[in-house]
Amino acid sequence: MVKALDRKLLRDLLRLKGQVLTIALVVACGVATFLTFVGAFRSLRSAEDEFYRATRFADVFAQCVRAPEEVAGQLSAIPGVASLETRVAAPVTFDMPGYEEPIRGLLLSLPRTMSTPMIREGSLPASADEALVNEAFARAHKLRPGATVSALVEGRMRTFRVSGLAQSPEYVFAMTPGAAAVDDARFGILWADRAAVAAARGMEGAFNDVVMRLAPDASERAVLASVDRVLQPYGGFPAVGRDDQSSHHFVTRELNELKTWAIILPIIFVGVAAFLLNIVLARLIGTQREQIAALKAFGYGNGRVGGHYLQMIAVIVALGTLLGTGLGWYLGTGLTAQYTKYFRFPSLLYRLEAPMVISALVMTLALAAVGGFSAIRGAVRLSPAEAMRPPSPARYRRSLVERIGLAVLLSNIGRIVSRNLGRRPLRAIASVVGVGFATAIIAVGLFFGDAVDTLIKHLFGEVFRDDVTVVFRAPVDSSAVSELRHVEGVLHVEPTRMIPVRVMAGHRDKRVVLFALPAGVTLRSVRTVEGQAVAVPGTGVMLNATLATSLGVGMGDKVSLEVLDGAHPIREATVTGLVDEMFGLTAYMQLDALHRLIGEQESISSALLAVDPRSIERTVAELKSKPAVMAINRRDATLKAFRDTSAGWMLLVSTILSAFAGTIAFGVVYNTARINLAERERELASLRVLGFTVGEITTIFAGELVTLVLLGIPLGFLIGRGIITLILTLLSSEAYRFPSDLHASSLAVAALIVGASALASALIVRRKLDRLDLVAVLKTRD
Amino acid sequence: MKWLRRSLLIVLFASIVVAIVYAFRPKPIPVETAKVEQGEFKEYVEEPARTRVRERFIISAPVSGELARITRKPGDMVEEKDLLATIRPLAPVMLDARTKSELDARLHAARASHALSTSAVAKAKTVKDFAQKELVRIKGLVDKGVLAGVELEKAELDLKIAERDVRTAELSATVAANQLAVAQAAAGDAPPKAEIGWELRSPLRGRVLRVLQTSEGVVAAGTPLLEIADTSDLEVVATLLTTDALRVKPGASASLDRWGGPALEARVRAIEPSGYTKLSALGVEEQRVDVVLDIMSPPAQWASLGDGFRVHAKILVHREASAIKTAAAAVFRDGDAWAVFVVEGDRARKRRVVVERRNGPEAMLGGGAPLGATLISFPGNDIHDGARVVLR
Repeated sequence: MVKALDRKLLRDLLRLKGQVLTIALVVACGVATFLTFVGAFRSLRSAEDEFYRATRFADVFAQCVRAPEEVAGQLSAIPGVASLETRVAAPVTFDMPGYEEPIRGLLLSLPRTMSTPMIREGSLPASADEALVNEAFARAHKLRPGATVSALVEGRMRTFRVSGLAQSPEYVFAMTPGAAAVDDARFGILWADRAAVAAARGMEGAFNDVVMRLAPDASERAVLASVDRVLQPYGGFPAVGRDDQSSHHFVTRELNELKTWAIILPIIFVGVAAFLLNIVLARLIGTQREQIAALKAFGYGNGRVGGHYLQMIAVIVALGTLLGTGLGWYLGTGLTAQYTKYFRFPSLLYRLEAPMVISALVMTLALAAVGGFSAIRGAVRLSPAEAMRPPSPARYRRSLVERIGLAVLLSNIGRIVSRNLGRRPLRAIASVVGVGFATAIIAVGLFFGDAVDTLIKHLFGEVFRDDVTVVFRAPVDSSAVSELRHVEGVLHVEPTRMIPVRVMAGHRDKRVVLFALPAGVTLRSVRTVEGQAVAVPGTGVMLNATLATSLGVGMGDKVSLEVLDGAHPIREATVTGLVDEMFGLTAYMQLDALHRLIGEQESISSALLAVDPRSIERTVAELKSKPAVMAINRRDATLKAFRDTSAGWMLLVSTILSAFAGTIAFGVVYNTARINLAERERELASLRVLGFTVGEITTIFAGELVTLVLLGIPLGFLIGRGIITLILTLLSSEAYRFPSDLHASSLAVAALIVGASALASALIVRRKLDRLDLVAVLKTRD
Repeated sequence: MKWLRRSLLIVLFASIVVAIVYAFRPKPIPVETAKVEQGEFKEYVEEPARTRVRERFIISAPVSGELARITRKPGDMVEEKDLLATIRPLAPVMLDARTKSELDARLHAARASHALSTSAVAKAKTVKDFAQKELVRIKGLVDKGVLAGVELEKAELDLKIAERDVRTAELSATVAANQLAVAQAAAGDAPPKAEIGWELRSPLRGRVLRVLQTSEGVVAAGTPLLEIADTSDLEVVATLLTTDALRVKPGASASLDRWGGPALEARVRAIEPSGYTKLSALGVEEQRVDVVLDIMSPPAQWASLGDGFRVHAKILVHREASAIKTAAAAVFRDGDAWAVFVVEGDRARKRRVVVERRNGPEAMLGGGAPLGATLISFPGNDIHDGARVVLR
């Protein structure tokens, strides 16, 4: 007996292969989204955890100008400090063959007990003239163990032999200060023997860098305050916990962002897929009504029959999960690879964990079973005799359109279509909602591409208008402006000053960048999310709206600014402006006002240049020759880097989502059409017998489909809008606000994809109608 | 009714097509604009500069001596002929033990020598007295004819010799007395301070800029003591790159700002003929030359400016009274030439233009864009000839 049911299952699946495949694809897309994003997140998280654990990443980081080694004793006596290690750091300038400009880097004493670099190749330095090199830099310059590297330390050229390549948890994300994007070749780190570094730096018996691990119950804030107090006499810079350690801070920010995506996207995609799956499965089982009756008549119990259909659902879902797992593995690998472009984890590989696949399978099975179950229950409840009888002819009545007096607008066929839809309004509504979700999900997928487009136009068309930004090593006198004006090809120069500050209001505080622009600045514009330019007020400080909210201040309030540079002066300033920006947490001031505030005369830290594009190469070469210039950021290069990294990520996500959404949309529309056909086969056949032509019954059928699609698409626009608003609410973080532009063309594309799916489905159905075996269809139930 | 149904279907279909076409039609690009205007076009050389008093007087010590404490403070007003400082003679040097005993011995010797010469005078006087008496006696005898006249002559000679001896002894005594005084002075303590001194007076009405030597003390001749100048008589020195200085002509007008007050008018007086090498803010060696400007604004406007204050000089190097100009942000490279996007209706049209001059924010056009035309400033990559635009 079981064998017979199994055979039926196989035959059913083969007969419904088109529908099975498309439903499986819908499931696959949901599962793949889940596995891609959740998997990528978990892979990154576990790569981070493993790396931090293996290298014993420190908890607290502090620097000072120079402290005698005895101070270490004072530091370790701070309650809450479990262990510490003092280090010596020296800024170096590398002289690399093939690079004209000097390359910045660091020479660090090799940490032994915490934050130890993980050796990837080679071995620890055995002598004073050997050093470990960070892997990314080494690979970019093709350095292998045994090679030599020359660096200028404290004005003296020193040559180190590379003993090995390593990766440090403190430099998972390593970016040159002032640079716009990660450039492996232009930031190098050397780890050498403590004695050698101390000698090179003139730090024998002293240290300028210390890392600590905290006891499990320690209060980080208290420890940081104590460390600051101890190190203050030795030129201490504010100590930071892990959260503010620059590499970890960035990694955490990216991970949190990915986590948000990993929550939102699967919910939406799995949710939509599940919803559509429910509608489709319920109706698919509905068409099997007669067969269920027949099975029951043969003596199969309700449980057996129900089990059989659940089995069918399980096969479809399992197939979908299988496809989705493969797809998710492929896309997850690609997405994770995007992160390896700028995160240096020793083992950042996409890992497809079995529990994730199982949970995806269980989740989709459960969601599908819910939909299938009620349909099956409905079907098995009927007594076989009743079920085997064709459903009693439905009561057709004048449709809504006819009742409100618009009957004249409907032809006979139109009337049939409208009455058909009106006969089963719930089913029609479900179909419309299904088409709506299919449309919405495409619009959501395309939205991210639109967002990147808007973002690029906003940032590179409206906010950053300088061709080249020159960042200086240290603040310079404003006479640099006229000096830059004389560089070949420079058309216009505007000075700016950027200074890290801690903004304090009451008990709240936030570290941000204070950006000072000259009055009447043209090459950099402060803009709201809507693109409205905002002038920086002549007095006081203008705060980013998000920053103001997190500090709990508004217009006219006083804030304290602690300059995190030099003597750390603390100044009062009035909030004279608020700007709702798309990116960042910035405080703005006019250059003059900043100079007055911190008592500096005309010092600038960077300059914005308008450059003749014809001679930009020569301009950049001349700028590079100036010793005080630290970084030169070209807008075109920054844009390219932005497209390659952040935008590249978004476009990848957008492409994946759009493809999934298209698949889901086709799956839904196709199944709606096929099930409609299955439900109506008899009626259509009867009409044929009554003399309607194939063309006419196709029109009846297509008319219904077109009506559903035409109603579903506008609904989809609304649903899409809603989903996007939801995503934006969840995504908006401190770091950025997302533009909510959804281009009309994206809506049109969504509509066209759904329309094309409907057309393709209609064509397939038309072929079926052509081959409609009238005798077979009509005789079944007699 | 068939026609109605058909036309309704057509309308439905047409509106869908229109909606789709509309959706795909590029949206007008929001742009910010700049006008082509006629007006004054000025080109400047800008450079940080500093003020300098025109005439600077350094009062220095004319002689070595002891300077009395200078009570003038920087910023004090001084009138012409006002007393600025006084230099008194130096106190004697301190004696060490060897010199002291040497001088003491010399004092003793001088005393002895003085006593010796005093007694020599007494002796000579005694001899003279005797010679006088002898002369009287011999004269009587000669008058009586007892002695020959020659004896009288001899007595007279003896008296003369004796008188000379007295004189010699007296002179020796004076020498010895003075030598004693010298020895006493050398060996004795410092005499009280002389109250007289050399008074230094102000050569002009002005203000004290700096006091280089405040405390009382010994100064060598030529030591600078005070700097005095008339601070209402300021000039401005801008250090220009020599290449820029060539474009600046004496008499060129300039404005001074960013000094803490309203912008001041100034005029170039001279470009110094000798340049020098200076390390620039960005660490490059440059050839610079001092350009001197006179402040033309009424002194009341800049009364608070002092010597060596920072100002920002904008020196006019070129001026067109009536130029066709626009924002430099509207002009962009097009091959080897320059071009602009002119907004015509709702379309952007590319026009080649000739840029004759630039001054940073503005560009002077030599043709290509009609006066009054609206140009797109900072045209983005998505703008092309014929693109639909909308003013922001």
